[in-house]
Amino acid sequence: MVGLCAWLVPGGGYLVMGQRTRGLTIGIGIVLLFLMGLLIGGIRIMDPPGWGQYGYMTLLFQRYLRTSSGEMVYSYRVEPADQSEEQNPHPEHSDRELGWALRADPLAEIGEKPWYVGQILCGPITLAASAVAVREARQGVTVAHARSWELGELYTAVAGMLNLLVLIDAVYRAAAPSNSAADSRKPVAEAA
Amino acid sequence: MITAPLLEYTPFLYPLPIWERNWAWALLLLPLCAVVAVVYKSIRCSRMSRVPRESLVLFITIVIGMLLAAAALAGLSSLIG
Repeated sequence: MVGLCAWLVPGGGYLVMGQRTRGLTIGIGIVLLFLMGLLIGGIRIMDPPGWGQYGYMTLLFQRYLRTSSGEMVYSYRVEPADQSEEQNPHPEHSDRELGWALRADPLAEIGEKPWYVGQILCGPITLAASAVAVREARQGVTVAHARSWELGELYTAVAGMLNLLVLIDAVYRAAAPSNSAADSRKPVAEAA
Repeated sequence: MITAPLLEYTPFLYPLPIWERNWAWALLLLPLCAVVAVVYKSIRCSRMSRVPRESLVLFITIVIGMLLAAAALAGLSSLIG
């Protein structure tokens, strides 16, 4: 329950446990970091796996090739540029459509955009921002490049990774025999 | 002269035009370090009253560490170059 709250709302796990100051400080910090990432890199730094650069579903195809050493199979991704291409991507006749790339080969698709693993840890705020990014991509809003993109990704991914840290700590405190016992543990930083 | 991106700039939709000043992007690392320090110390400190001081110390430590690393890398690159 605490873990779910911590993922849904950054700092929410502490709020459920009654640690209001800690929850608010952490929650405001993480959300601020995420929003600053969007401000620096623009909404298109949200690049969810399964959707291409134009905001349409990425499709996966398989091609069979006959070579001197035998038959070879390889997969390739198609990022449709508009809705008609999404519905009818016109592959070669011999190519086999595997469907939506995120469903057909989720690990490879996520591997194409590994920074999203960090971002999604921020919770539903990431999903909402991704939905807006996909909509704006269809309107022609372009992706940031160079420093803007790097810093935007860094901010949003670090916000997600901090939320993971917070989630683990909140669950640890909630699972401890008593919350007061967990609170009174001597932190490493203070012991040093 | 880059004027078109500034005219079209809409916060949160388009990227912040930090390319206008070459040094500006480095300053954007400071808020990141500050939030990381505050969130980390909020987790580690048993009493929240200790967080401002502890996070300030951590923030300064991170910034000094990054400056030293940048200086070392700049020195190394000038030696190689």
